[in-house]
Amino acid sequence: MSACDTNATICVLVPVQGDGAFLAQTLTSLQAQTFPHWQAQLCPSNATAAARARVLAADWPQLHVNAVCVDTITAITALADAANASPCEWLCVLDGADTLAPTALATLHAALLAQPDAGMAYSRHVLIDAQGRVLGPGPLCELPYSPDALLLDCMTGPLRLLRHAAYRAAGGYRNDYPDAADYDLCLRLSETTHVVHVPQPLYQRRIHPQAAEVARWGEQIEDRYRAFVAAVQRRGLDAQYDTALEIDSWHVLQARRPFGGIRGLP
Amino acid sequence: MTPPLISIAVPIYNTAHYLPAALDSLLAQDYPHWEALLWDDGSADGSAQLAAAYAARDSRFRLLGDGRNHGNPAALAQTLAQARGAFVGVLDSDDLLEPMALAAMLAFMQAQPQLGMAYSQYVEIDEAGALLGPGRRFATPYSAHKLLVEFMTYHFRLIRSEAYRAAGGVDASIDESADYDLCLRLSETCAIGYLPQPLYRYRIRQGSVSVSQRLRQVRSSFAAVERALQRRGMAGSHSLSLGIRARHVLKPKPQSPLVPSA
Repeated sequence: MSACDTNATICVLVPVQGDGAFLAQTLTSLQAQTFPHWQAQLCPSNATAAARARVLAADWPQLHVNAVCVDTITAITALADAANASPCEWLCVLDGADTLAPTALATLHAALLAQPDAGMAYSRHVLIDAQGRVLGPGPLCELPYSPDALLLDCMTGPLRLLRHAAYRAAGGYRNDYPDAADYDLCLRLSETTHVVHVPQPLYQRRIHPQAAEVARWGEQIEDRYRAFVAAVQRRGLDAQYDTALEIDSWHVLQARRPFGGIRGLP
Repeated sequence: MTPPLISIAVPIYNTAHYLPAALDSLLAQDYPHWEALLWDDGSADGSAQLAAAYAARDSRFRLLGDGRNHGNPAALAQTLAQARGAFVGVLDSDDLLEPMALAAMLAFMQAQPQLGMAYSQYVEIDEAGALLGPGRRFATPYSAHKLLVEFMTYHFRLIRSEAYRAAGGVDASIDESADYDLCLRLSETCAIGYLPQPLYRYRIRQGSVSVSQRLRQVRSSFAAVERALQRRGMAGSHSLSLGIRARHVLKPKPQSPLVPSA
């Protein structure tokens, strides 16, 4: 199967962590897109996820299941290979546990069409738990974007639509910082192209035990910091500024209740 | 009645620049009945020679260690195992004790024989020794339960030796949070008191803790509390979660002094 059918203009890359328990919901949200011209590349991280992906993709020619990626480095390499091989004009990453709002692709696509000098558009998002309950708005995407502000906070995500040409010009996905590959790419994009913020929550990011920010929080903090330091050096800011990472941590201890209770009732 | 001996462990690793101030702060103590257990953990910056010079001057300084690097928890456990005092404490080799520290803590504990450990307030100083301000950890009132979520029993701690041994002492296998782990175990076996006097100068050194080491500290502290919950029979009834916030910081570099042109 080709990476992109003749009508598809958006290539959606779908990394699948853990056992792919949420993948059906993810693909359902993709199927419900009002923007029809997309093609998805599923990148499973293990055999269980791959088997589930193949079952779900069996009757769906727009879905292609890639080889299994066993660790974060090969996962980023797989994403980069899929992105590089795609002839689509646009690229998007949809985590295999998350879901898109029905208008997500159409809205971001329209935003980039309206601003031809912009290479990336990103939206707000909502955090949900493993059961799909809303935890609240994604906090970082509420922060104002600027290339400088991006050094301090990764507000550009998790839903982004990239112009493929801008992706290539920025150097694409690299595995220098495998647990912060998205952030690293966004930093490089912010140095080479304009970025559009669409202030609508178009994405549901699921916080669950296999989610990267839970399962690999330490590696993510380290790699994000390294990507930040590299960006500071690329931008020539290291002559004026020293870099540092401040980490606050706290323990939260809660009594388990035999019955969780119903909100609103005493 | 013979005044009790206080054993102060001073694990040393490449702190030659700060070590004399630390050891001088011991020599300046109002209370004279102490021994300092100087464990050089394989320093390469002359710290061992400095420690030896102090030991040659004053027999209360005892030289320990085999010249090899064992890591801080192992060094601390081995050092405290050789303590001869009725009370034990720790002075980090880049920090300082206030002159009244040992006398004040000893009086506090002698007045309350039920205490197995007492801790004080501390102040923070910079690399040059200038005062940065009061520490913050002790602001949270102590309870054995609160200690699970906040490490308020920070410097300076004085522990009754029998309480230290009864709690199992420093666990040499714990990498980054051996002191927190020890305090958690002490909180389960003895009463702990708080003396609201700043008796310790804790030095903040820029870049002294790497990102990886800081993350290991976070993980290790969390693991210490998980073990405490198991010991206390709370693992089934309570859930523990970790909150973490990481901030990238850009700090303007210090201005170089202007050099007049020739």
